[in-house]
Amino acid sequence: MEPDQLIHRYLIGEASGDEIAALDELLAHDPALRRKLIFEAGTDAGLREIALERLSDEGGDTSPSNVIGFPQMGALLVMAAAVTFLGVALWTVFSKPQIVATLVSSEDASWESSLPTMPGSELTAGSLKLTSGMATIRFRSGAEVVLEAPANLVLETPMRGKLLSGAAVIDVPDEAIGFVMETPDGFAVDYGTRFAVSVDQEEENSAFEVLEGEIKVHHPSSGQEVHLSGRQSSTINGAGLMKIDGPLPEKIIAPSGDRMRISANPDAFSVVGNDETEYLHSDFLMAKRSRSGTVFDRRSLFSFDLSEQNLESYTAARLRLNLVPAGIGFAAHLPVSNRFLVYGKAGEPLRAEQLKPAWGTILKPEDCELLGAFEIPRSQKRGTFGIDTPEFVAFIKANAPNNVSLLLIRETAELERGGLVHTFANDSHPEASGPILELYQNPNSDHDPNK
Amino acid sequence: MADSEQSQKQLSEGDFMRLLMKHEPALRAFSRSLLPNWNLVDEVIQESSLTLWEKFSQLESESGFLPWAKVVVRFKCLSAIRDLGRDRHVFSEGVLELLADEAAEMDAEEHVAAMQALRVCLAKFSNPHQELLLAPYSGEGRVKDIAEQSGKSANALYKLLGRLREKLSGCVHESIAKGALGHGA
Repeated sequence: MEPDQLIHRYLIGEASGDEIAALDELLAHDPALRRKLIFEAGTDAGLREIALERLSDEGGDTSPSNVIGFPQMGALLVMAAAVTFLGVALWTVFSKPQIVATLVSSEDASWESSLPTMPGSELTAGSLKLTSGMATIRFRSGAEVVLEAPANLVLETPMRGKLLSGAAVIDVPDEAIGFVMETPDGFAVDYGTRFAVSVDQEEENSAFEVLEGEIKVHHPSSGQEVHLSGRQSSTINGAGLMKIDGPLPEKIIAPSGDRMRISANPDAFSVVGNDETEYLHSDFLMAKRSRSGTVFDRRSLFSFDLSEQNLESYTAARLRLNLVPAGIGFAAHLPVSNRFLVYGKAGEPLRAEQLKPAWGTILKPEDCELLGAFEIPRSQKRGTFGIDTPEFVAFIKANAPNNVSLLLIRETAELERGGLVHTFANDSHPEASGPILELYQNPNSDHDPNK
Repeated sequence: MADSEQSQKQLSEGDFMRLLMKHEPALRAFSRSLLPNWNLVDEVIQESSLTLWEKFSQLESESGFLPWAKVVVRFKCLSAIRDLGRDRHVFSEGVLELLADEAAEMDAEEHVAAMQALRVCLAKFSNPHQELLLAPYSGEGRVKDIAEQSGKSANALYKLLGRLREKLSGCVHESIAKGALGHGA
């Protein structure tokens, strides 16, 4: 066999005792072959590194930020090294599923995760998305992460996690020194301490603040790194790494000078097909479509007064409706997703107090213009929904400075009798506000109403 | 910025972590040239890390880290091989000494250049060939699984793997040589 091929067989563990003895004999007298072996051992090490990276990528996170580019390779090797140094041999990655962490406790937590989310559950590598509440996760190394919703944490190894979004406070005991918390923008290696990290996904900015002890923060794409101790902090983003000699400044909410909010007139109301007012409540704007007939159907009507407003400079508009639970009917009797339609008509205020509204006398969809639609999953009982379509903007602008009336109906019918009645807050609702019209001067503002 | 000032001063614990992380891939490759399998490499690197940590105060400058660490790793490798006893799957002591001397000469930049070239070269292979090249490290029996799936004998696949590795290292050699020329110009 060719000496080159002997080397490959040796390195992939396929060479027999005889073959190794033959290779040994050749190596003893051939310096060039020894150089070849040393070179091939390096290639072998590199291939293994790449194989491990690909395995750990398949293991959980599939977000684009996990695609490993060249500048991040260094960071990966660094993390692999940290793992090894602290006693978790790299090859344990192979013997999956490996327990990476335990979910210690949760407070009011709700999750979107393929991993178990009961307190006490053992967690393998993977992604945990906390949509509300707080949760404490203890990595097997001892590092403890208190996660605050909304947050997305990827458990990678007992010594390494990645916070894709949200905020966490991390407590690292002595035995977990070297714990790495990565963010999309950089990573921190911990030297026994408590530190806070927050990731602003939209701003593409991560912030680290030491509460006690010390950490080192790295910015892989520029190679910058900084040591933080005491109450020092740093921010990392595309521009690089900035060290702050003190705690992080409090987040400032950008002033909303380019936005105007108009509340609905206080005459908003709902109607029911049988006109029996006991099926209605002034706190709620209701929407329901029955399987057949309209006896129990609900629709809502509300209006905005645009007479005092100069809307020339506004280029975008959205309607905000706050879904609140009222506990009428079963969500299980609805399809998984439910579609709502918003119709509009220019016109006078509704004067609900004078005219007793009736199913047969209020605005009908066929008298109006369809302005937009939105969907609500049947599982969702709270949240803000609405529309911001071009038709809606055009409608508002075309009708100012007059009043506009909007009609809300549910297009999706229930599958069985007794299905959920969707209820949105009306003005008098004690918790949430009634319908709101938001107008924006800058069309680039983030104004997705269904967020 | 604060760290460049620090490099002249006494080296801290933080510096140790950083240096170990930086040079660990090179140390791993160095051990692989002496040890017969990856399990042994992992053990030796772990043990060596602890020894390096204990003796870190002896190190005077950052630039001395890699040569110093290689001395420790070399010692650990040779002692691990002695522990294996008279195993026919390892090289003779004379060959190991020669390999250790020669491998110790490779510096950190050479290693980084080789790793970068490797990534670029690997990407030039087709997906099935990349998969086969990475199979020996992707879990036990992976090569045999691929053989079964593709209906080829394991033996034929190992031969193909040998040829692919040779092609890969040819590409890495070539691009390092080009890089070195580019540097000199």
